[in-house]
Amino acid sequence: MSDRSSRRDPDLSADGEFDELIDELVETQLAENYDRLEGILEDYRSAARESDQASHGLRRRIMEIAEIEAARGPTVRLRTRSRQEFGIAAAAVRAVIRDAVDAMDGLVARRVSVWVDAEAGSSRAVDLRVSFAMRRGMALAGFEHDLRQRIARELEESVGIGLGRLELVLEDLEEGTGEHDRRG
Amino acid sequence: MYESARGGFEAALDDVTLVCRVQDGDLRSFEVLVDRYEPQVTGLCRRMLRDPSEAEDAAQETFTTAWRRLETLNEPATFRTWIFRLASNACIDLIRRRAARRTTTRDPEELSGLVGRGPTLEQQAEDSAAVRHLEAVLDALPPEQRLAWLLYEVQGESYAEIGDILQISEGSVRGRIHRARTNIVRGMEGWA
Repeated sequence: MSDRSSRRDPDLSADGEFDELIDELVETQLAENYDRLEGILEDYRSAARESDQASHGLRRRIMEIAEIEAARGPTVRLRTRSRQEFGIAAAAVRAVIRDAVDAMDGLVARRVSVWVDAEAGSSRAVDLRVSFAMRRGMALAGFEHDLRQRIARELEESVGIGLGRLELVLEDLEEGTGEHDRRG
Repeated sequence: MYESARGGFEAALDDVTLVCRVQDGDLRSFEVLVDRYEPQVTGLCRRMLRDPSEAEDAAQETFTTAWRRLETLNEPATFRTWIFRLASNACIDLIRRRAARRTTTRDPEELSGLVGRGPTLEQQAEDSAAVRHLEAVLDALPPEQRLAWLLYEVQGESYAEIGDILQISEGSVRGRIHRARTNIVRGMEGWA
């Protein structure tokens, strides 16, 4: 077994300079040798980039699993006027609300919380807390009324339930939000 | 059936918004995240595992875990780091399970003449003996070294980003990459 310390100059090894010199030389040599591999490494990187393409079969399998699990999500329990209970998937309500917010120029929905005010009893209505991102430079007061009306209308027209309380939360300001292709 | 988001409104949304929407159960936003990260995640798994079907399994596990656990991600802005952490863990787990089935290990210094485990997509794309030998050298590195090296050299992550992904200090990342380079230089002797 080689022992580097056995070959040290006592004067140098005393203050560790010899070790540092050897380490430096080894590091320099390593860096030079590694740099010489750059052509091979670049070939490897290029091949890797070329092979990084989407696998449609894999994507389909992932989405099938997510879709099955999403269908088992929570439901919101409501009552008709005749006091018959029914449930509606919270995800379905959230999707309607997201679409209503996204349809407003400069807004993008983020989170939608849905619940029923148990004390209201009857209820064909849900309470909502909706957070969204807004394009920088817009004024909340300029669209708040329209947004509330749109959400209430979409809720009624899409899933036949009314809007109780609605809390709007501006979560973020973004550059250029709303420049995307709108679903309307 | 959900409406596919491909090329639609969600495709232009930022990660933070998509993550918030997925946390609310939005499949279209999840599909966009899958489209956005699946090629990189599968690529990392493929290079770590060098087995296309195992790589797809690891990538599938990564995204299904993400779907199930996304609500636990408190900082949506860290999604990218988080998804690569899930992928890294999936790969390391698979490699450990493989190792448990094996009785012998290889020394990175004894790599001359090492042959790869079969054709990979990299081999199909680049028929280079040197690249094949490099793949074999990488395959013989300890998995933690290989992972840090791949994240740095192929994916272009910074030391800090790798530290976040692997949940280790930046100094440890530098150490792993340095040791990987040392082993690569030894394993590639005569190929430069």
